[in-house]
Amino acid sequence: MIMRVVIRTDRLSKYYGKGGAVKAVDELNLEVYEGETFGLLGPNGAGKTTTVRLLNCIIKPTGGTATVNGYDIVKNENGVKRFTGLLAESPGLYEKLSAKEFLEFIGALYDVPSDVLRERIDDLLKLFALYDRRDDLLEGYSRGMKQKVLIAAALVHDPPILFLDEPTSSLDPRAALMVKDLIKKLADTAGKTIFICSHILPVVEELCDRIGIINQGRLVAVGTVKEIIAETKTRTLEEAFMAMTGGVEEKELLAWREHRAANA
Amino acid sequence: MIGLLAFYVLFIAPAVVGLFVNDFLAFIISVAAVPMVQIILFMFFFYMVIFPISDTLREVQTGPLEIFLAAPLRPSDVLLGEFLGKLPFYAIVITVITGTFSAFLKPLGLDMVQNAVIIIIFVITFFSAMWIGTVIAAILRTRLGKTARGKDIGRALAVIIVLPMIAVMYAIIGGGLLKALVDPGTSGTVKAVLGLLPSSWGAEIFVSFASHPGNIGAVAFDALTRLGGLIVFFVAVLWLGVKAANRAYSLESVTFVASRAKPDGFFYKTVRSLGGGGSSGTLLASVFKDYGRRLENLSWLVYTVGLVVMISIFL
Repeated sequence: MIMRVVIRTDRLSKYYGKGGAVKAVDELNLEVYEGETFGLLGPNGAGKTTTVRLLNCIIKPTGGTATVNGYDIVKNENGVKRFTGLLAESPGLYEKLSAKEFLEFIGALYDVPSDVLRERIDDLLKLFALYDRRDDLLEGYSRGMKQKVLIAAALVHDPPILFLDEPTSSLDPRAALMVKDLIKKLADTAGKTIFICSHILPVVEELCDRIGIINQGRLVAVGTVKEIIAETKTRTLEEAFMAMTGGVEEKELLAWREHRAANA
Repeated sequence: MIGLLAFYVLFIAPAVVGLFVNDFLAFIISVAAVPMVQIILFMFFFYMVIFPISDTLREVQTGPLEIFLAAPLRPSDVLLGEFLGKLPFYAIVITVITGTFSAFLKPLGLDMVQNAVIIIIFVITFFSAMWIGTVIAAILRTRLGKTARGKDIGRALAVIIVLPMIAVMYAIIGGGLLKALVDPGTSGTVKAVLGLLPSSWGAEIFVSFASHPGNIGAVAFDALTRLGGLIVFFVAVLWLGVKAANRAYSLESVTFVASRAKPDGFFYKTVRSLGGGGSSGTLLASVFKDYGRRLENLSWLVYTVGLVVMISIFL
């Protein structure tokens, strides 16, 4: 079966500073297929959020091109934005709005017809178990509940492609589990293409069909978890990740500590 | 709400102003009228520019920006939405000020057209000020909100930004500013400077109407010219604001330079010693550093010193 590519990047780059001294994203070539859950894995500062911002037309590339659902991210921003939903890494909520009001606000930004919007908000709040607290102001929500509202906000215009930037990084284990279950449900039952950015390996390992490892702006590996482990001749994704992102230094550091302990 | 505001303009404001109108009437026809109205309008204009800026600087957040930028909207739509969303609150302020001023003018016997022109002047002047404030606030939020240092600068600016306004108020209350403005010899420069500001264009119409109540024909050309200037100014700032919206709503990084600590100099070494050296000295020096490196704290010091200086000069 030929799978349709919904996200394609061709030498996509974002450089900052004089002469492009800081290479946030460096000649990224990537393909994400329709209906798959793709994970972009990388250490902090590797270029994950920059990639997501580029693909959502929030910032402009300094080189290369990309298409999302067939729309060019530079030439047809609104085309891209109508088909994508974004859960940003640290998004701002209007804390003096209730969950229902916030979702109405987001729906209005995407021009969702009001009758459709009302129904969809109710469905999303029920799905995320927030319906009973729909009129509570967001300032009274826990972090996990706020994250659920933000995921609901990313879904309120029913986009076929969903970008989730560090969806569980600031959550406690219970809330993280809840969010992971939600993402699974969305992938399995709603058939969305999901693009997850994270530095938390188990999240990516558990949720994603394929992953890409990005380090210092460059994509260093793409494939299924098994393929990446095999490629790096390691035993676990953690080891593969360390091998590809400079984990050797960390091993050396640990070895030094072990050496010191042995001498003590 | 509109009914309540109209009720204020038509009934409450005239009733309240009626209690003081004799003194005011005497004053308005005196030589102090032009500079006084000019400075009052300037103060309101300045305040309305500063208000959204100060409000934004107190808590510079770029979080909602990402939501807006990910949506299929133009930055100018976001800017307009931000302005229009706050408009009902601004409208209350504008109504209260406009209502009070038009009530002051009632005994002068201005005709309907003159009254309407004055209301239009107030609305255009204050809308321009609030729009300018909203645009500047959006640009500052984008510029400052991306880094910890920028946020710190924002909070510091929010504290001291009102100092010039307070200085003008103190100068009026206790510094004899109005008395000085009455004197044509001393008011000439101030009048010339204020005359350049859009807030003064409307003030001059206001005063010309007060000199020719019920006779708009006598000052029609002058009034139309200044009103036209005011409308052109409003359209121009609106256009410039829309054009600036792309800069005001952006998450492009401006710097990757993080603030760095310098090695302890004489001051911190002294603090450390005064703290008894060792752990307690380190603790004391650490608290000093954390407090002193927050610009907001330093700006509170500047604000307090500024107030004390102004009180000693003017009161």
